[in-house]
Amino acid sequence: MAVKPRLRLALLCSHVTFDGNGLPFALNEPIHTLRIPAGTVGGYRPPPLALYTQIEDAVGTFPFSVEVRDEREYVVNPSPPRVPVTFPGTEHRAVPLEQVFAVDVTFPGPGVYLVHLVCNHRSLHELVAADDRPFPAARVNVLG
Amino acid sequence: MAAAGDERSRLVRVQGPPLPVVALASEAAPTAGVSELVRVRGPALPVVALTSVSVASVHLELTVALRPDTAAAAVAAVFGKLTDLVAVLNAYEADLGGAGFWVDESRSGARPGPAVGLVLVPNEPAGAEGRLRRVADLLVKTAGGYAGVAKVAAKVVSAAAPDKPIYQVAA
Repeated sequence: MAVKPRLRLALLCSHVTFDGNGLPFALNEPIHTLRIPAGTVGGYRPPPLALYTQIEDAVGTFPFSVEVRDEREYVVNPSPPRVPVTFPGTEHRAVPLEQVFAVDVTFPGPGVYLVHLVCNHRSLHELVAADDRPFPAARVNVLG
Repeated sequence: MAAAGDERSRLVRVQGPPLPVVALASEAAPTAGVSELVRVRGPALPVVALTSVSVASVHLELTVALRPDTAAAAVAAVFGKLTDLVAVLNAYEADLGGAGFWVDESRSGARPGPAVGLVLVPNEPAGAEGRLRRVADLLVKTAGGYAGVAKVAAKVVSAAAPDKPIYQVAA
């Protein structure tokens, strides 16, 4: 039976280094502010960024997508592609799963954006139940 | 809790199973080409060391001796009054920008006699001795007026010389 994932932590960086066991070892170049390179035409699409997450209570297969929202929380990329992700059950429920997402995002222009991880059409950064403690979405300042 | 000093345990992280990286895209067919990643940074800041272990070198020990016929419930009530008073003190200190005190629960509570003991540790070491002297005077004067109290004594003690109080007051 699928158990819905809860987001414990989400950090945006340029890339994640993995150890010999394939587990995340280091988070590199944490991202909070980006600058659009001179001469960029149209939207700003940096190389895929790494979204390091810690996910609790996830067992089964779920559709994931990434939403880019502006600072008013309006979605700037409606209908992003969804990817099915299967999480294995673990022996120790207290130990979260560490899932790295390579996110290919396009920012329409300068501004403040929130990168939301969406599962089953719902942002994992939003409060659903009274006892939820969701991690905030990564906020990226994009400078012109 | 690790003891202060050089004793350290190894860092042992527990991790779950390795999972493959999942690629997500904000657009099914991006029209913009991939640009370079230009991170904008603030100034470099030094690492700040924080510790969860208190470094207070002085503390206050309050002993309230109650009449021999005092019931256990009354003893507990006296302790409750004292901790409530500490909470008021902390709120007052916070209003003045101070750090207040914490009650060392491992050394506070009801004692044989009957009596009540209270150990207060300052959250801010700077100027702690002076503040604890004033708090000792206040607690002795206040607790001395509680019903059933036979004697009240307070002392400010240094961790370096616990048998030689820096300050004592009694009523």
